[in-house]
Amino acid sequence: MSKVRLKNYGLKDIIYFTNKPKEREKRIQETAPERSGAMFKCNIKAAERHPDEQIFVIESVTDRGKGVKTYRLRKKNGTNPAFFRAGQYVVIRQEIEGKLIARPVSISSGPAETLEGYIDVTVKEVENGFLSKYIIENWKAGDEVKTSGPQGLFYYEFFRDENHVIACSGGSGITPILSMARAIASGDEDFRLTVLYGSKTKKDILFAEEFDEVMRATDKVKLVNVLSDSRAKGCEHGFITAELIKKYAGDEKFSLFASGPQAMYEFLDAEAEKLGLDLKHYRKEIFGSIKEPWTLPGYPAEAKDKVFSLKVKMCGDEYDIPCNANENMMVALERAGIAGPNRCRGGVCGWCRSRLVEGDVFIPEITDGRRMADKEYGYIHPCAAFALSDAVIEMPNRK
Amino acid sequence: MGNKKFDCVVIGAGLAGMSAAVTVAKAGKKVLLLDQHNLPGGCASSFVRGRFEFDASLHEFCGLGKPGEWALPGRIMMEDHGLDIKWLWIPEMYRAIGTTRSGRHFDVTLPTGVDNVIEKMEEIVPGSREPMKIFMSLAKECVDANDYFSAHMSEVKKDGYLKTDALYFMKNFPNFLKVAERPFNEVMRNIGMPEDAIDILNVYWTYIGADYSKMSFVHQAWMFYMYARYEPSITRDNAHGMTMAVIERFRELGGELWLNTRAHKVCADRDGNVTGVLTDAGMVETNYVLANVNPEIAYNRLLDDNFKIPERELKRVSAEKHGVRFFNAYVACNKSVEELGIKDYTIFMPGSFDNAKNVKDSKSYEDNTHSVVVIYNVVNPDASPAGTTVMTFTICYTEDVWGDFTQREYVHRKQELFQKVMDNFEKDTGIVIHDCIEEIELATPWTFAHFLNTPEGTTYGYMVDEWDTMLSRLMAIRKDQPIRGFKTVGAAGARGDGYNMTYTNGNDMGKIILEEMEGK
Repeated sequence: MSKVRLKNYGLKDIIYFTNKPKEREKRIQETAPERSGAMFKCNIKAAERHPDEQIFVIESVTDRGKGVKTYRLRKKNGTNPAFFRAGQYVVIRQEIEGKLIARPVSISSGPAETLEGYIDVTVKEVENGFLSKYIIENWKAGDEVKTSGPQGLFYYEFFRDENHVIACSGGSGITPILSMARAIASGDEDFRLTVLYGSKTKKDILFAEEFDEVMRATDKVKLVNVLSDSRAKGCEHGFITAELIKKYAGDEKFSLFASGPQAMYEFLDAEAEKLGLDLKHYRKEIFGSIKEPWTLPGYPAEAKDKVFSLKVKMCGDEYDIPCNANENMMVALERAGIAGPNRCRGGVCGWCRSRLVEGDVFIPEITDGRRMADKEYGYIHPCAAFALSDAVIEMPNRK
Repeated sequence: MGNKKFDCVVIGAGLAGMSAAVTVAKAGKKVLLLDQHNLPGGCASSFVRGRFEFDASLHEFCGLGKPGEWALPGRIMMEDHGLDIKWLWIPEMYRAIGTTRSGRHFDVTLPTGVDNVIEKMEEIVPGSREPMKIFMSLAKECVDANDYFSAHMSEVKKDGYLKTDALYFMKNFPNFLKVAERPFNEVMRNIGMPEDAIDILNVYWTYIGADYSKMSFVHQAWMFYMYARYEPSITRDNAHGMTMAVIERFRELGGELWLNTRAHKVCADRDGNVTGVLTDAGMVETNYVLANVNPEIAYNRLLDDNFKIPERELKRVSAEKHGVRFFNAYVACNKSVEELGIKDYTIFMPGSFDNAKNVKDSKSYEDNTHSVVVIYNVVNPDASPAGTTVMTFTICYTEDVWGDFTQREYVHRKQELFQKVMDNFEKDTGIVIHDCIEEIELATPWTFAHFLNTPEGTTYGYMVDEWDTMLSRLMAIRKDQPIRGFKTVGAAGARGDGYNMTYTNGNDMGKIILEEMEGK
């Protein structure tokens, strides 16, 4: 392309060009030098919504029986807890015998309650549950408790979900559903919620009064108790089957939300298939960590019960620790007191993302939430990986 | 704990930080790269939702070039740094739907290829051919002049500005000297571009947020020519894949990466010489620090009190205005692009093509629905599982429009805005997505403030302004940032924003710190 001859531009424009840096310098020299560390509105809002850490004091403890307790938490510094989407959780960070243990716990209060200064978390003592056992036995009013900000993706999404949500829940899996129901009552969420709540008997039902209160406030929430081991007036009997879901869905479109133990998901997956639900219409609360990986397809049987050695590289330091093949690698890191960042404990959130430098691991497909390039470049999420050999990993810093 | 000592510490593994780290490590120096987040990349990242992975920010990489003919950023990445990135090229510039100031409605798709673009503009706005030829010729000269300039940035005059060979420029780039710093739309009018064509050329606004009646010609000309000549590009493994390629190279060069590790202070001795960085993982000794951090945050919070920051530098930073920040809607549909009837990668839907109106609207929540969408699967079949589509809608703001919303209304505001954006998209294109959204994430300046810690959640550093043009910033690249042993890199740097500019800026500043290490 040959150079064009410009009619309207000439020497004065070249001078204009060469003067530009001088013009800039003049503007700089005319400005008052400021040094302030002040935060901007947008950054303040972001920090309120996504805090790294929230320090709470336990205001009260409600014993719900059967190893379930609800703790009302208020911020130590008097500010409101982070606002959240109903269905989200916080990660409890508890020091036990000098080691920092972290586990996600669902919020059972509604988001509007943060504006009154509190959140409720509900904990159920589970078999071999290290942290849940500690909490149930030790936490009392007046204690200080540290958590993450709100986390998790199990909430109603206006652009994805149908206006009618059928939530299938079992046991303490009801807590995020209660939070959703409360959010509907307070106007923070706007959808119709039918809760199919599975319990063994009427005595095992949690939060009966709380749901009654919600249903008095709004007609958008409906609770159906489904009892597996007994019959009672006003309750369904049996399991939460495709047939039962269909009965409450009627002919209109609905989204199915599931929150409960691993066994319930296995059962519901088959029912969802019978209903012809696609992934858009079937949402599950995170699994938590996989137990008994040797029961899954593809697991090499010879690794079971072995204890491997794990070298952990972290910010220029190295640690050699034992790693039990039967537990996810995050547990080994916690036992050694060197756990790096972690949140969901189900392979999804990616906070524990680490580089596998050497060694083999087993990663169950159902909890493999890694990025495409991470799979290619050999990164793992230790909370969803099981050692199959001695290994070396490089992990983000623990704080 | 061993002795933690490095030749150079790079704070922040954003694109510019990673680029600077590779440049310095490649010179044989022992480099530590830190990031506050648990994964590297800054904006050049991705996130997983269900069976989908969303690219956090790469819409299209401008000015990469192609194998055998890499343009400046491409040369640095692929040749100098030797990165292993799987690039894909987008075979059209953009589709734009909207109404010009004259009241004419356009739905145009501009192809790539310089001659193709010229002919297409003539077809849609008769009378455009000759001015388009002049525009392309001027733009080519700007690209060549910029390349020459970038290769000759090491000589400094007494007053601190770069020394340039005026005679060489006069002889080789005379038109560049005349028009580069003139306002873009003024140049367009002077070369006889029809007004409707000017409006259609202004449509890149959504990515830039600039006032085209003031912004220097060279900006838009460089970008437009690069898109037309080399095609825009994306990567097969999204922005996170690009980041991993840079990190892999950095490791090969002996570099160390510490994640989830915040730098609290850069420390100096009483004479103001850099002595180390105080991090979450303890004190790290070094005499050279490159910070992928906004300068005002660096000067206000990062440098300890022993640093003597010259008054002129504080004045410079105080004079800057925060740049563009975004609303992004990351959407995954459970239908393929074929099922949805999507053919274009980039679709601008400004409603009105009136640049002045759009600039005004970018300071408002209610009025700003001027969006652009990129649909990854059109170019990258591996962007999501078979039978699905991932796309990102974007709106740009030039002020802290989101800062006043309450925590309680925040989600509703996000939803209300995306509803408008989606309605406009469906109306403009006839493509229906509202019934097949399987995953969606709505990110606002709050989100970017959370992950990046930039002022007001800005992603574009400081506004490239009438008084603060890219060229005058580049001329002052060795006058600004006068602290020996400490430099900032990134979108707030001399070259401004964008993947190409920040990566190039990291390389520029890496070379400058290497010169300081060698005692220059």
